[in-house]
Amino acid sequence: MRSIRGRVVLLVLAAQLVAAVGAVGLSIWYVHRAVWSTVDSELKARMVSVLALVDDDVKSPDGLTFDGDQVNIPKEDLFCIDDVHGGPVAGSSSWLTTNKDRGQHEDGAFFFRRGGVIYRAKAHMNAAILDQENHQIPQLYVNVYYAMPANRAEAEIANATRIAISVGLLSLLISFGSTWWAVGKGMRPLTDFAHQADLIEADGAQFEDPTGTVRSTELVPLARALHSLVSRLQRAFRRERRFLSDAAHELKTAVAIQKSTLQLLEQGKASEEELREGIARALEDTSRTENLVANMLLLASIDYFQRSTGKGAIDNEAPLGLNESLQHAIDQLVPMAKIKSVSVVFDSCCDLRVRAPEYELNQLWINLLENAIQHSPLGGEVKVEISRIEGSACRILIADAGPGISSEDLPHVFERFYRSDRSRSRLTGGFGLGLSIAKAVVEKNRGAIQIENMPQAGATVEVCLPAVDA
Amino acid sequence: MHVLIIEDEERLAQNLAKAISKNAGFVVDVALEGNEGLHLALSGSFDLVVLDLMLPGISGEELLTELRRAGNKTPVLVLTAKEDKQTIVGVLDNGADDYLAKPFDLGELLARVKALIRRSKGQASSSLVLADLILDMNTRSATRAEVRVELTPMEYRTLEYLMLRQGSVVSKEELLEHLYDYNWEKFSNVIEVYISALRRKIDASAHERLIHTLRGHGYMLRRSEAA
Repeated sequence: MRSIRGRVVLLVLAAQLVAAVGAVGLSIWYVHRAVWSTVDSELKARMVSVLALVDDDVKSPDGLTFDGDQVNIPKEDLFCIDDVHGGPVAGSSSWLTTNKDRGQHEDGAFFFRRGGVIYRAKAHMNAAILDQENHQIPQLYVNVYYAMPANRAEAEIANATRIAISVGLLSLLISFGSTWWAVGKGMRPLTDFAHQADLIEADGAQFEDPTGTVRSTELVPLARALHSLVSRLQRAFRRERRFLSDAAHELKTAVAIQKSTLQLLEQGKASEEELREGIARALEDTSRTENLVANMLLLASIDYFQRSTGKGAIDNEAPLGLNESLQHAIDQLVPMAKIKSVSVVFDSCCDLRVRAPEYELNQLWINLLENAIQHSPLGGEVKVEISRIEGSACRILIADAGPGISSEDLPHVFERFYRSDRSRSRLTGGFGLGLSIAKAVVEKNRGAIQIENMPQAGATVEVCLPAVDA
Repeated sequence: MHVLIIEDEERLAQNLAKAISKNAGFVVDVALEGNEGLHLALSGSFDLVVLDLMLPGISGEELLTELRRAGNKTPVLVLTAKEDKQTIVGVLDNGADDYLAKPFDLGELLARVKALIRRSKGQASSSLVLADLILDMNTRSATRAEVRVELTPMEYRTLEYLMLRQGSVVSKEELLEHLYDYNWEKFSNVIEVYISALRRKIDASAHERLIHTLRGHGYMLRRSEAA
């Protein structure tokens, strides 16, 4: 049976049934005993009254007489008195002739059936007859049999049995009903949960914390688990939604810029020089959009990679030289550094290699270096340092001498589209994706990244990546 | 007319400023950041604010709320990348006069800018009429008694503002604020120069005088009581 309610009810009923059978059996046995013991004492009394009518026969030695006129017993009763040799002395006429009902019984009680009536009978062997006149020690012994119909006793027992069984069945029925109801009621919160869970929107909205409203303590862990699951989903959904809305804003703005630049050219008459300038501006806008789209696609592809294959499926990447990879990125950024008169000081290290796709690694260094150069003061210095750390890993430090990151921005710098000082980032054309991409690349390649302010000045990014020796 | 653009995307702000000043002949100021934008908008010398919703500093929504709380009635045209009903309704309920979703059409933006300014000055039509003086805001031209009046851009701007506010007194300071960008030399006598040029071109050869000077108060465009 799959239903919890059904299983519980079945179990309870089985236990109840065993108990009921025991109780009913016991009470029937007790009634049985009580009824038959009453019947037997009555039987004995009547037997004694019959025995009292037996006397010794003065005419013959060892002879016995029976005072048949004095017999005062119910007419359905049967009795029979034999002398010790088996010779009949007296008895009910019908019983004297046919001896089969008495059988071969010794002392004791027995049943027999006669003419559709059940009789309870008792036999007493060697019953002593007291001499009523001289009160001598009795010398006379007889065998006596006495029987009386047991219909009433039988009916009484049958009645008691019926009542006991009915009570047993009734109690079974009651416990079935109450168990069914109680289990159903106990399961109600679960049904309510299911109902509430049914109402949860895809984004997890409209779900209230059920922990407080659950009355059964057994359900509190479930309620708590459900709530924490939904909260996690809600947070994930909110993040995704914010990312989407930010992405849409950036893309629409980028398109709006391109469109307005072109429409501006369309309006009125423009000289050839103006047209050329306009086209150059439109191209600039286009490459900005291109850059944004490329960044978003890179993020999306890393996300997709991590979701579909899990982290760390990078072992088949060819190991790349760390020194060369960083030097290459630094070379690419020389023009930008020159504009701000920033010098990049590179402290290379022992020959370490990193298993990561070349494009991703390059993008990682470019993003981090660009960030450092942008935030450096005019004529400042960006320090790049590689070191080997315990196990097979390497640490890359990129430090700038800029103003550092404000404490309110610090927890958010890796968030997508987050710009700490937006007016400044805008001027450098950032979208707030550089550090998000860096983090995604590092984590995809089983590394860790963190950023912190230095006590003296500037911010330092620390990247740890698994490395192999060359 | 004086328009304030609050938009953090510098390129977009420049393009908008160029289009509005070139096409509509309005004076444009640009704020790239929310707090600066709010500060400028609160000065009250603008005829229209073009406001982007996603801004550094304070957001567009907050800026709008602050502006309206301060009792500023300048029309606000909101630019937004969000097109959902909820945002649009929220923005309009919050005190915006119109909205435009990015990416927008420059022509549409210009039309809305002009319409909002016209409406806020109590004019429904894009041609402003006073007696036989007609000013067409679309072609930016004026005719008096069906004869075209040749005006320089600055003269046109001055006339357009006076026409939009016809029937009320416009001070010299108000003209300076609305016709020139905010760092213009406030004590120059440039306004007197333009007014006298306008008088010469519009009123000199006509039988009815329309430009009136209220000494110590300013200027007013209205029909002469004599006529």
